[in-house]
Amino acid sequence: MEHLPVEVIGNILSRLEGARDVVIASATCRKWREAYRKHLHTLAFNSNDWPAYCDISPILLEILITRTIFQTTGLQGLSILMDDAGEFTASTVIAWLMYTRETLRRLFYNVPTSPNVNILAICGRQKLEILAVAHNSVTGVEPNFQRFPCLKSLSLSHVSISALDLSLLLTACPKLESLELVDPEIAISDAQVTVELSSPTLKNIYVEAISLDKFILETDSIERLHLRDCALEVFELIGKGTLKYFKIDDVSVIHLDIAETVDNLEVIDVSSFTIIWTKFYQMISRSSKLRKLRLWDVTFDDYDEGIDLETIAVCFPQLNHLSLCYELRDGLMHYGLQGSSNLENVTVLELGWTVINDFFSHWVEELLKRCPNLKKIIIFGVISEAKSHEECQILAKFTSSIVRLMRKYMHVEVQFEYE
Amino acid sequence: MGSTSTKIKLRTSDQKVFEVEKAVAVQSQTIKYIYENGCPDSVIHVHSVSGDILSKILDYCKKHVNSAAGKEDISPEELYEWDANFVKVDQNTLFDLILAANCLKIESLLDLTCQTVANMIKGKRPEEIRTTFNIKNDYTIEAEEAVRRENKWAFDMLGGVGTMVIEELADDTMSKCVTNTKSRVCVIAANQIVMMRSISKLANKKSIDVYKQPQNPTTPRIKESVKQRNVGTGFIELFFHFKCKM
Repeated sequence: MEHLPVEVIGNILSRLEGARDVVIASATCRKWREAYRKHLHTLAFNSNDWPAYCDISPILLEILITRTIFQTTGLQGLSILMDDAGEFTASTVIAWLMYTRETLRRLFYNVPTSPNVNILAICGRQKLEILAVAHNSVTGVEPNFQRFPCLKSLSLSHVSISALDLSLLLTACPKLESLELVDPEIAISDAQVTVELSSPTLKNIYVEAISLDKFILETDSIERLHLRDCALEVFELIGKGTLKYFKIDDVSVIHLDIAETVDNLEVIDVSSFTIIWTKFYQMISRSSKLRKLRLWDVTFDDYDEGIDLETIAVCFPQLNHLSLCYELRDGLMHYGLQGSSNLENVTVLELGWTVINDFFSHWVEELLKRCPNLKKIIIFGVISEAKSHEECQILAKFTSSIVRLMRKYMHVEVQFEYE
Repeated sequence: MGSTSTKIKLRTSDQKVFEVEKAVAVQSQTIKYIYENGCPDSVIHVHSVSGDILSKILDYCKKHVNSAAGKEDISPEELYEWDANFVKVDQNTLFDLILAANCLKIESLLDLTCQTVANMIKGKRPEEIRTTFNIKNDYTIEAEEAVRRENKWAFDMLGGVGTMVIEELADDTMSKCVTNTKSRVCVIAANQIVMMRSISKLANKKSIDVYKQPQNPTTPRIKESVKQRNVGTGFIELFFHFKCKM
C-alpha cells in the first residue's frame, strides 16, 4: 500500500464517491489527505447514499458542501442529488459551478435553487460529457454562445423550458448521444403544444410524463426510443431506419408514425396500450429482423380481430423472444391461432394473464405447439386480493393442466411469476 | 503468418519471458506504445512487473479480448462474475496488480482493482482503515484534529441516525426491527435490558452498535431534534443525531 502513487490513491478515493466516506478516509494518513486534496476526480453528495443529509438544514448543507468541494482540486465529476432537501441559495450553487468549471466532465444536480439559477449557462461547458439536471429552469438558450462541444448525455427532469429553447439546446450539443426528458414543463407560445427536436447524433431517447399535441423527432442515428406515461396526439419519428429498440409503456397516442424507421428494428415492447392490430401491424411489418416482440397488458379495439400468430410467424422469422399478455376472449383466441406456421426461432416465451380464465391454458398449449425450439417459458399471473372461490378453482385447474402439459415438453424450462 | 497471430515477447523483472498474442498485449497502452514505436521483434521489458503478476494480468487481458471479439461465448453478467473472482486475492497481490495496471496503463483493470479497494474502505473509520491496510498514521495529533474539525459534519455523526425502540416488544418483532433497519446505531429503552443480549448478536452481524438508553434521556449525548417515522410494523422508529466522536 505504501508503494501506491498518490494519483492512484486519488483514483481509489474517487471510487468511494460519497463525500462523507472520502472525507473520513482522508484522515487515514497524510498521503491520503494529499490524494483527497489534489487527485480526487469524483465527489458525490447523494441522499440515497447517506439519508442524514436531509436532516441537516439547507444552510448548513450549503456550508459543508462548499467546504468539501473547495478542499479538492480538479474535480471531474460532481453529484449533488438530495431529494427533499429544501432549496439552495443561488450564489452558493454558482460558486460550486464556477469553482469546478475548468475541469468538470460530469454534473448531476437536482436541488431547486432560490432564486433560480440557469445551470446550463453557468456550469463548465468545455469538457462536460454528462449533464443531469432536475427541478431547474432553463431559459434563453443561445447556441452560438453556449455550446457543449463534448456533451454526450443530457437528462432534464422536472425542468421548465420552452419548446424552442429545447430544440435550440439540442443544436448546441453537436455530439449528443443520449437524451432523457422527464416531466418537463414546456412553456407554450401557440395554442398547440408542439415540440420538434432534431439531432443527427442522438442514439438513445427516453421521454417520460410528457403531454403534447405534437411531438416530432428527427434523428438519423437513433437506436433506442422509449416513451413512458405520455399523452400525445401526434408522435412522429423521422429517421433513416437505424432504430433497433422501440418501447412504449402506458402511453396514449392518437396518431403514431414510425413507419420509415422500422427496417432494422430488433425489439418492440408495447405495454398498457390500446392497439388496432391491423394498423399497428402495417407499421411494423417491415421489421423482418425483429428478435423480441412484447405486447403486454394491451387491449384491442372492439372491432379488432386481434393478433394472429400466422402473421407473426411469417413476417418475423428471426423472432426469438415472444411475450404476450392480453385478455383472451374466445373470438380473439381462435382467430389468433389460425394457420399452422411455426415460430421456428422462438426460444423464450412469456405469457401472462390479467384475469385468469379457462382459455389461458389452452392458449399456452397451442403456443407451445407452435414453438418447436422453445427452451424456456415464463408464466406471469395476477392474483386478485379478494381471492374468490371461483378464481381459486380456475387457478387449480390451470396448475394441473400446466403440469400435464409440461410433461410433454420436458426439455422446456418453466418459471412462474405471480403478483 | 498473418497479423492476427503476431506474438509479442515480454520479459518481466524476474527474467521470465512470456509470449502472447499482439491483440492481448496491446490492451496495455504502455506495451502498445513501445511496440508501435520501438523494435517490434525484440523482447519488451516490463521491469516493474513480476512473472506471477504478469501471468495474472495476461489472463485478464486474454479473457477480455476474447469476450469482446466474440471468440468466447460469455455474457456480460458472466464476465462481471469472472472479474469479481479475479480480484479475490490477498492484499499484496491486489496492490501489485494495481501498481502493474497503473504502470502498464490497462484502464479497465485499474478501474476494477481500484474499485475493489474502495469497496474495502467504504464504511470504515480511519483507525479501521489503517488496521486493514497496515498504514502508519503519520499525522501529528494537532494535524489530525485540524482535519476532523475542518470536516466536523462527517466525523460527528455516528452513522447519522439512531434507532430507538420505545415500545414493549416481543423478541421477534425486535429482531425484525434490527434486521430491517438501515441505521448503524440501536438504542434500547432502559427498561428492556433482557432484550439487549438476545438482539446484540444479531446487531453484531450487521455491525450495528447497541446502546442502552441512559436513565436520564436528556443527557447531552442525545440531541433534541427527533423525527418520528412510522415503519409499519406496529412500532415507531425515532431518529436522533448522536454527537459522538467517530
